[in-house]
Amino acid sequence: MLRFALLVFALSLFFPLFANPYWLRLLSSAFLLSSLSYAHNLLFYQLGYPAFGGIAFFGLGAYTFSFLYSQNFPLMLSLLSSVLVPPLFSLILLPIMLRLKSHYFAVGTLALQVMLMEIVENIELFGGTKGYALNLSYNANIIAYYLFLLALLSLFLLTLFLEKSPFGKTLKALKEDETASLTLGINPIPYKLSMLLLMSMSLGFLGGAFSLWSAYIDAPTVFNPLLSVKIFFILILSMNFPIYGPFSWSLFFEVLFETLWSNFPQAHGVLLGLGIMLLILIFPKGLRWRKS
Amino acid sequence: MEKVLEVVEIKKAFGGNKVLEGVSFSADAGKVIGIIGPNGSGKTTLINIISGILKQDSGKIFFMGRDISGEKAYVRARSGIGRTFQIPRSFPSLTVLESLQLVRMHSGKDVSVEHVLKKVGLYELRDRYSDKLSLAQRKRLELARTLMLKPKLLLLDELFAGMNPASIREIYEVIRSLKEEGICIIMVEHVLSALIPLADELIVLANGRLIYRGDKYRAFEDENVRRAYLGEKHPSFGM
Repeated sequence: MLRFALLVFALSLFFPLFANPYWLRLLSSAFLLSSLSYAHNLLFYQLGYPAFGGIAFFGLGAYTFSFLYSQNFPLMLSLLSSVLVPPLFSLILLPIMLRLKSHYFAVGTLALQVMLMEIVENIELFGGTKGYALNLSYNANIIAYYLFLLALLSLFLLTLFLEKSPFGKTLKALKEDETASLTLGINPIPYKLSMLLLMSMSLGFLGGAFSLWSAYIDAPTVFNPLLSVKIFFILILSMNFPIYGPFSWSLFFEVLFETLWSNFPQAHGVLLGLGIMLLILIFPKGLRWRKS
Repeated sequence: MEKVLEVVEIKKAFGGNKVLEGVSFSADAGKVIGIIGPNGSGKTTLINIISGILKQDSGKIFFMGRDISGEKAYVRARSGIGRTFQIPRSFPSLTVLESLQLVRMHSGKDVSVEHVLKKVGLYELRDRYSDKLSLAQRKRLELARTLMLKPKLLLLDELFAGMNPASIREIYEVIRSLKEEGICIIMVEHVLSALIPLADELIVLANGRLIYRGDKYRAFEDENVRRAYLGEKHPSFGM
């Protein structure tokens, strides 16, 4: 399975050479969604923290990139800043939020997402309600494709590493019983913080790459709560399949959404909703794939 | 004899409910102290406070002569305080072997995983996931995990509860060997038939107070203990 996955990644490297713009956009979109899912899983699957508002870091990355790039900062510096600003922001706020558990944590991060959305929409310096339109003179969608692929490969390998390594085993122990872990000499703080930083960095990077890809961002797009719903739906389905699940389901949904949208433009939302409800009924605990 | 633990005037309340009201005692190396008492007397709360899971409202805890009252649970564990739980708290997605390796990694203690597994009788089950173990096996796993801390003090919360007589006999031998190694063991236990032969002394808690400490055979001759267990007007008091 791993060899097959690595082969898919290798082939993806050459995809832009022969694919038409439609398929390139579809695959970019699938890479973005799966990367977002893997990034959210760093807290959700690994530590049991459902960051429903985690998309706030994506938005923050997108705005950091767009703001700096529109001020004529170089592309690489703008992108680097989109990676660094979200973890700095998370360091200020989330050590407090990591004291919250389960649904309290979920609601807390959601509040963060709404708060950031309100801030950027009401400050003209950040584009206000108009957002940012970026003037990109080169083939930005190809660069974005490779950035999404890089993010996906990195997050996939990180997930694989966490599944096998002692670091990942410690995360499992903390997720399954933090009190017992404490009595066995495990200090949870470095583990929680490192996962939080990794998640916010990844989401920030994806936000920056998204700005480059779409050339236009506004608050409702990059702080979109529906994107969180989509991500968590994928994560629930991938619950027992954390290595390959997020990518497989993201690809499946992107193709499904595209097919429904092109064939049933009036009813694609309803059909997609019905499909999601059916899947939840059929796989209420996600697809099971676990060693016995 | 080396004093391992000293608990001084520990008080704890949850809201208006006073669970511990000034409990003090000490424990030496190589001794087994049994803590008994009616339900709600504060036994598990006391274990939680000594292991650092709960913070006392007032009072001090000294471990090997060092004040650990403000230390976090994981620091206490690394310094050699191991504990088990009333209901075993294992990690379902880790195997027996992985659980022990994890403790060794975090405690930094040079303890042989194989030796500990053999000692508690889990060597053959080392590759089994802990959610596939029976209750008695999970209790052994908890004990094994604490042994990976190279403990000087073991806090065992109802270790024998839910075990069959054969398992109790096997664990009994393990506890005895730990005692001989000089580990101080504090056992909260309801299975008195298993506790009494092991314990050097008994402590009886009732309503958050220490009402008896001393000879294990004389505990139930003590009027305070009988009153705590049987009530004020029990006929055996001759009232």
